[in-house]
Amino acid sequence: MSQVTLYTLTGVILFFMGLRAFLLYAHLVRKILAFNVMGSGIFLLLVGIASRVPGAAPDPVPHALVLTGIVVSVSFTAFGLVLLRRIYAKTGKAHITTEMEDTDAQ
Amino acid sequence: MSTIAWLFDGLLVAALLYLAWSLLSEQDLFKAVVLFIAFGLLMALSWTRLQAPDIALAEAVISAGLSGVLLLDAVGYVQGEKRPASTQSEAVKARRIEPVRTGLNLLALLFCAALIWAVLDLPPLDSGLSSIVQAQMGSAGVTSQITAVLLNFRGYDTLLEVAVLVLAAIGCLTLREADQSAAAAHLREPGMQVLDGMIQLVIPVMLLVSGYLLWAGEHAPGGAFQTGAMLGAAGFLLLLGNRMHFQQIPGWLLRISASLGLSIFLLVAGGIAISGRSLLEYPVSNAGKLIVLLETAISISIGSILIILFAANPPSASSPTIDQATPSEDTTEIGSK
Repeated sequence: MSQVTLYTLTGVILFFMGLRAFLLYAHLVRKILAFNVMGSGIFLLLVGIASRVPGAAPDPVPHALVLTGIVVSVSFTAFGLVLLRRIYAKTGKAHITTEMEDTDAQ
Repeated sequence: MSTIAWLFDGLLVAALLYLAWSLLSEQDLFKAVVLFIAFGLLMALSWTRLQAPDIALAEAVISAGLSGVLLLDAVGYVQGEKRPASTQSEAVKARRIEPVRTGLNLLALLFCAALIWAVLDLPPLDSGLSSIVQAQMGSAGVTSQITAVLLNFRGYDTLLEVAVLVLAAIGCLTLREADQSAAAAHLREPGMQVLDGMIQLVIPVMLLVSGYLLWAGEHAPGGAFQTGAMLGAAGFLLLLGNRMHFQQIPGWLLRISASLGLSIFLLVAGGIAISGRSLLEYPVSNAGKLIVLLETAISISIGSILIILFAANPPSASSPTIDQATPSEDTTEIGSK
């Protein structure tokens, strides 16, 4: 097992932690945090897979994808937080309850 | 050397996992976001260990800095009232859906196990696409492989990504305009001398660094995303320090600069398509110039889109929780530089 594999496996575990929290927590800020951790896990996994050849320069294509992904994830976070503020302003709640199932889908 | 490297990697990975675990299980949302910022910084360190300096730069500015500021603001906004009610309701809900929780846990665990198996089962030697990229570098117009992939070989991805960003900005602006009262309430009192002094020192350096990153992207780590993120961070700092008011920026200027990257990208793509080549297949002789043009436009766009995203999440001055939170946001901003 190489150091790169160590990071790749860390990515998988981070994804698992994020996914679990994303599914289980009702608070919307927690969901957004969990989503970001999931993203970080996927990015680590991708970059880990990109450097599997020992000694060689890493594959630039997954690196470019991850770079794109990071910028998209910040725009997702910002948009999610704007939606969260609207939900909070309208309902006074920042977590998902049964009557807010539709909001959850976004 | 190898032992020290292993030790360092082991510690870094352990710290990452610990931070992720504690930020996800932390009861206090404010602490959770602070842990998230620390997590982002350690992620940036991991990227350098994985020989990905481009990603490290973007991660340090975006995940640790910009996302952190946005999340802290949101936590302050949401924590203003009804926090006990929210936790209680969470607990009630948790008891009611206990079997579902167990099921979801098991499902996630199963998925994780399958992924680990897949990772360990990957064929060990496969150069992926790097040999193809290396073979084509001569016609790329730039010498940095990442920039070549982003803006030339996989220009499609970047085009669509810029479109996603513009969409996010439009979404944020639309929702914000429906909620003017919150937006108007965020102006902070002037007179924080340390912050004012720091802004005067840091903003020129940030602009210089973003210019350097744009220039360096042609041959070294850097490029449009990092430049845009740095410009956005400078904007965040100006907004937070009350040096710039979002309401005072002319709407037409904001709209033009936010859509500049996408418009020029589409013009270039359309122009190339009309001249008989396939979409985004740059002529080899002009590829370098086109990439510099696109990178500049995209940098400006990303910077202004980030400012729009930030301004759509205004720190509201109504609750005392937010006053505690704001100084930390400023520190985050400095740290992310």
